[in-house]
Amino acid sequence: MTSAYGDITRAGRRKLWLDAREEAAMPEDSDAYTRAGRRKLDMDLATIPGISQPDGDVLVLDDALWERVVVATRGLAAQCFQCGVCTAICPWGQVKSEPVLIRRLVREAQMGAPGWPEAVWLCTTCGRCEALCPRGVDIPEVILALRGLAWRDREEPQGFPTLLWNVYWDGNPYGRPPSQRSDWMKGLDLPDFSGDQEVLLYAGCTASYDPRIQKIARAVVQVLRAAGVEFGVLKDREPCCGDAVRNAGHADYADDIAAEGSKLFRELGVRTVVTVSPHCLDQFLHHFDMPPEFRALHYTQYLRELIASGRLRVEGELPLKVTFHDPCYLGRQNGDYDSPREVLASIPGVELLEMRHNREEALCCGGGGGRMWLETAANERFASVRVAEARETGAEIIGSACPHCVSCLEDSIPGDASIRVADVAEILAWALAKPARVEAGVAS
Amino acid sequence: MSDSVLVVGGGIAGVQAALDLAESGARVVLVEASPAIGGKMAGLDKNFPTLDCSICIEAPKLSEVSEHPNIEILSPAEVVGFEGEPGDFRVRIRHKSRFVEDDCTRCNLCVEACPVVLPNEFDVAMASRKAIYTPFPQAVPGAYIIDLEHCLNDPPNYLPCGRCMEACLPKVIDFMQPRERVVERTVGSAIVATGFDLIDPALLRGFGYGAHPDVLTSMEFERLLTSAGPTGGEIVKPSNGQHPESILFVLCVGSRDVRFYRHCSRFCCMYSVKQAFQARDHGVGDVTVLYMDMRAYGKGFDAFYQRTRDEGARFIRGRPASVEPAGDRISVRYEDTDAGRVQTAEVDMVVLATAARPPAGLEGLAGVMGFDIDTDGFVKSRERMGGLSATTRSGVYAAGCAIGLKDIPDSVAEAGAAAAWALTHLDERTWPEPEAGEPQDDIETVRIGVNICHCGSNIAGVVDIESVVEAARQMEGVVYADSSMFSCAGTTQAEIARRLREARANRIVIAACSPKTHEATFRRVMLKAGLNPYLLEMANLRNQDSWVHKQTKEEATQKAIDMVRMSVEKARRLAPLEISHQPMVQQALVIGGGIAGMSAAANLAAQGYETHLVERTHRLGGTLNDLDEIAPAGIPAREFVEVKARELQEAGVAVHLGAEIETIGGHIGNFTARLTDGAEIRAGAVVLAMGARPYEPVEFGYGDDPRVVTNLDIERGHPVRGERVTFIGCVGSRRNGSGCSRYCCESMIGQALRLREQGKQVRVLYRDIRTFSRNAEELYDEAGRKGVQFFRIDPDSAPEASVSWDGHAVQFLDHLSDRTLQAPTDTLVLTVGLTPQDEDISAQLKVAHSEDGFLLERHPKLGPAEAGSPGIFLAGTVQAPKDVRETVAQALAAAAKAGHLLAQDTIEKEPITSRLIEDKCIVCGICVQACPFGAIELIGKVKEGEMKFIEAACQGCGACAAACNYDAIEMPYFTKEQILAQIDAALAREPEKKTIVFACNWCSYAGADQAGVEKIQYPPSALIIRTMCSARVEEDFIMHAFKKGAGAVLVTGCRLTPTGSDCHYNFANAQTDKRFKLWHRKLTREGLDPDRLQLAWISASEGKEFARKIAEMDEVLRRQGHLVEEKV
Repeated sequence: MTSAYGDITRAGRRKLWLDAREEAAMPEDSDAYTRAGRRKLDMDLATIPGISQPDGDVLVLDDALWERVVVATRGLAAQCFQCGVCTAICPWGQVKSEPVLIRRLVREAQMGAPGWPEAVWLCTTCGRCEALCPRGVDIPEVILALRGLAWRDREEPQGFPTLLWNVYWDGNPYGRPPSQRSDWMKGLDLPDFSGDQEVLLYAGCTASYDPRIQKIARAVVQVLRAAGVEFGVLKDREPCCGDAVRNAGHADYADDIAAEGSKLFRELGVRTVVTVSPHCLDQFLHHFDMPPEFRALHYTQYLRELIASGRLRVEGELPLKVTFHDPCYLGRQNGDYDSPREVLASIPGVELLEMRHNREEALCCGGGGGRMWLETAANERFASVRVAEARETGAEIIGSACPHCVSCLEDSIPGDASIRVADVAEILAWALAKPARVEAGVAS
Repeated sequence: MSDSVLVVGGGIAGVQAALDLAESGARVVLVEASPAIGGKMAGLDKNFPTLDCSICIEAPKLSEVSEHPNIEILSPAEVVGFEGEPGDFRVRIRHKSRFVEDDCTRCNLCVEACPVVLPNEFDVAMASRKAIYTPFPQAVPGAYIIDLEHCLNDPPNYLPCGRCMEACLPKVIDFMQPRERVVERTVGSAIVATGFDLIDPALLRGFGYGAHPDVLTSMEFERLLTSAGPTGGEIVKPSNGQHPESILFVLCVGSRDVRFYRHCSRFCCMYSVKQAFQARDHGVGDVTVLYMDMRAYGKGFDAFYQRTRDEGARFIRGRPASVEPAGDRISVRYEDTDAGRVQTAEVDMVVLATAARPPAGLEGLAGVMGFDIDTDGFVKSRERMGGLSATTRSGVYAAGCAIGLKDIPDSVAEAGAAAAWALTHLDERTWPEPEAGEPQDDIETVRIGVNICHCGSNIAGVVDIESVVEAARQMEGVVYADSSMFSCAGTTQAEIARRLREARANRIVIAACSPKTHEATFRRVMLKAGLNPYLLEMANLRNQDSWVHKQTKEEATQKAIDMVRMSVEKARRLAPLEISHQPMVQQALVIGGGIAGMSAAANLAAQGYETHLVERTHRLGGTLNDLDEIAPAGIPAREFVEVKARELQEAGVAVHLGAEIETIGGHIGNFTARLTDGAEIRAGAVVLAMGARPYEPVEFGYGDDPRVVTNLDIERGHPVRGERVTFIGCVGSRRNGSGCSRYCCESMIGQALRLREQGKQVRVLYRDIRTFSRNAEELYDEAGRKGVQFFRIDPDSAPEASVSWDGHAVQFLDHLSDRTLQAPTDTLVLTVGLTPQDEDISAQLKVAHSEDGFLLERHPKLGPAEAGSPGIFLAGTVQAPKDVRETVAQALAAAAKAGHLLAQDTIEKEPITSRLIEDKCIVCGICVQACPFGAIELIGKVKEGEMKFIEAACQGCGACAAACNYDAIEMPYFTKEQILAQIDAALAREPEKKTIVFACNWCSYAGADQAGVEKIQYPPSALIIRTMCSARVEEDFIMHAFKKGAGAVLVTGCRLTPTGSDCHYNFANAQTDKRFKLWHRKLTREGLDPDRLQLAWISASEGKEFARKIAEMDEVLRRQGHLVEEKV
């Protein structure tokens, strides 16, 4: 790092001062060499034309810092021309009294990213800003890159180091024993993935350990069985996909995880993997190094195929008003808005109601970008806004297709509300079961 | 052998190209896909920054095109085949039937009868039309057209309707016409001018379009502003018909946006500024504009932007993230990026400046005609050929937006350029005789027709037309008076001619708009009616009455009656005048050997005229010799100069290097220049291409500090020291009345990118990034991606005020982070603007300057390459700063204009030159002194000899007539008798409350027109009498006015200052000045209140000054009134 005033060394400054003094015809017997005199002269120096002294408010641009940002963001941060759309659309603006200044964050990055404002860690990588950016800047990627720089500067927030160590030691971000990874499938008698089955069902860490989300994984199993799909699971061998690590900003470690995961998938001969979470899907699609014939699908995408080919048919009527909340990692990040809707539409009796902001404009639940592992004040949760929007539709159920979304939304349902949250797989499972059980399911 | 050119597209570019070609004797086949020519310009309300009424200035061109015998319009039609070689192309055109024959009278009965209601394309579906319709009142060619797709009669008569046929009295509707026919033409070359389309608003849901009825596109808003539009010029909310109290304008909707179009649409910033101005003018209280960079790049644009801000429109740097309905209103969320604050605004209306995109069908046309389309979807150009006019197929050129988006003057210039190229492939010219009606007999008995124009609601909205018509009917000599919605519309013109013949009227008064814009149009009407064109007089009700007295409708109506009476009285005294023909020296003189002069000279010589190019240095190429690469295309500058030099040589231009113009004088058709090397050159046309001077900075220690260089120093090969380079934009531009220098942003970014690619740290300090030129926005994008850092400094002050430099670092406030930054810098690059060249050639030729010091063009929109004085043309940066492409385009436009002047061996001379009445003349010789052009000679001795008037030299100023004490000189069309009659008519009613204003044709009358255009309100007490020059005003006029009780008299003329004169007649206004002082002394000695007789110099651009002066005179009148009352 070079100092901004690298070329005005102490000696240089003294020379400049001497030159200036000559010009000013200062008497020889001046008090230049007394302590007080020097202080006074330093002050005088600042007023001499040609010498300006950066005061506390002046930021000196540092080329090395800037190049570091250019490299880390692959030039993306440089491309932004500062229109401010990102700041204005950022969902934090709807819950915080002061909006999160994404544009300013990128601007600071454009000047070398001095300091590490809280905003870097607030981003949920929902991608709402990216969708509107006129320069097409992948803003979430810029922010993750900045997080990466922050890790290098040891400027990470509380919570994220634990997350990393949890993955490191236990293979999941929750710090739960690897031996309990297959607890969710108790009693289901699922086959080990042998490489011969049609698909590998990948539950992921959250569905494996979170008791609420375990139900979703079980519902997926129920549906796949109803369609007669031949599948296997990896049980305790199932690796973490790396999404939490990557979204915490530690791309290097996430890359290692992806490399190991890819190796395992290749060894096992995985051709089609079906995930419970769109976050895992995102890792498999974009960060796993797999042969071209490898397919990664979210379970809603796979079900859509099953419905289209006639393998899955729902006959039981389920009279239910459902509004669908698009998960960011299925929708904006991977461009699929239709699969979950088509699955819901295939259920006789289900009435699909759209929220004010849907599809590309959908509001994030607040759980992405590693936010699941950080504290969010109760009055600053996106999910509360989202639940209110859902209630406006008159729906009985908020359907979603992501473990994080289901958790966040469910946590934000007010006690007096009659609306409930359910995963698409769960809704489908109700429809496949007896009508009497459906009633009970809704009521429970 | 070919004498024809194919022009595809009938917007302003196609229309201008067709006219330029036809005037040069080429035959033109003009193919337009829609039912009428006029393009987008016809649908606009006003043009920026002049606020000219768009259709008013375009309609005369449209009727010229439709009447020109050399132009064949095929519309609606499309090109379906194009084969052959330059000089001999065979074109096949599919021409669709209109089903209405040309004898249609536009009575509108068919429209009333038609049961089919459809959205009206011209009003962008904000109003309706029928299945038989005329697109807009001034539409040409033809009249009505049947939209067969929606007509109930077809297909095939499943609902036999025929109501229109039954309603039509002249029976001109013919369903039996074949639906289409394919016609074949042979042409020597072709011009593609298919314009642009606007982005499909259905894509703009993210901007709220379609979600709320009060979210409009800019074109929809433009139609709301238009007095002939669906709301009669009222801004109302489509949702409920109420006036909005707040409007938010959003710029760059679909432009500069990777999701839609990467390019900058170039004209949206300025039309949005204009719309914001108009919204304020319409009384909308809260007007906000959201912009990203304010691209006010043209002449007068920055000043207009500032004026709009002064009028109370707020400009905020930001971009909406969401536009959503909020009850009846619209909620818009954006970040104010200068303040760093997120705003949620609730407004009544949102206007989206929608992206312009390549026109639909351009690709198909490219396939048929065999030229290439570039990656951005516009026509690909062979830029090394010069400018953007040449397509990849030789013999096929392009103009206007089809080859890259541009505003009207740039399209007009490029149309001229394309025409100049197209002409080089022709080897035959056609000169048809003007079409004249059967001459009317009995001109002696005065029979006057009066036609009063509503001009939509422009006049009729203020003036009670019926009262004026009624009053006109009572005036002496008037045989009929009637009114029209648009007197200038093609069919109305025919109607006026018919009415004249029918009533056997032999003189006409058109009470409409300014003779400066429309006299030529109505003179053609006179010819058609079989009348001498000089039996026409216009009353300028629009610019000088209704537009400037909006609040006082009754007084405006009274004033209109006074103005019509003045015109009728003058008309009673009009006599037929014959145009004379003066010899034309068919040679061209181009002054300045830069890229503009070289381009113009090469083209003129290629057109076949002996052409002289004079360059004062010893080297051709001008500023380009100092450049390395030309941004954004990255063409090596030297190579470009070499190509041009070769062209010059091949065309046979006589190049005079190292020679300066010592003296230059003369007039259209016959200029003479003497060079410092002794050579004398005669020319019929002069092209001024002296260029502009790069600003020589004194800021940032340039010259003393070796670390500070200019962008031109770098181009010249000055080494860039060190690794850290900081560019500062706008040095010497955009301050003290000087505008944007246009070329610099793209050039600066090009340099910054090159240095960045060499591995340097490059920073750019800018006020606004104005990369509006084709592919320049893409260059800006690339520079950012590659790591050039951009910092926004104070947009409202010159960089020397907001950036400090201490020899090692620059310090400034970055408006995007609101932080004071210091950028360590090894080399500081000042990107300098262009300043006017100081020279005396324009002074010798009496070419006026605009406020910024560059030469003044004839019309900022439609005459960018011509000077105000005939026969003189402006090429390149001598007119205003521009980049290389624009310079070349304008130079070629100047060449095209000069070319059609030189194409004929004589020029028509207006019959307004002075005439000697010999029996009154005593041969005193005083007129010889008065004449500014040496056009009067005294042969022999005073009182004995003979006076000789040289018509060719006379310019018609009338200084001689005013000087003559014996009334022995007559000025036709401005005779003493006529002017006295105008004074009498003006003072017929309440003379003490009137100011008689004498205004000269070139400056002060145009200034009065400008006040109208800008809608600057002033009291209705002034009545204007137009003369060619203020020097025409004689003592008798003044005395007569006061004798008749005039409250005040104001003499006005072109600016006269101690250092120069804008006078078009060689300082004739100095005579006015001298005479005026005499009269003033004489009258005040006799007891006249000195304030009642005043003199004011007002230039053509000073509408505000004119209005101020009239208000001042009105004060004088009021004071007089009080004095009278006190006496009583």
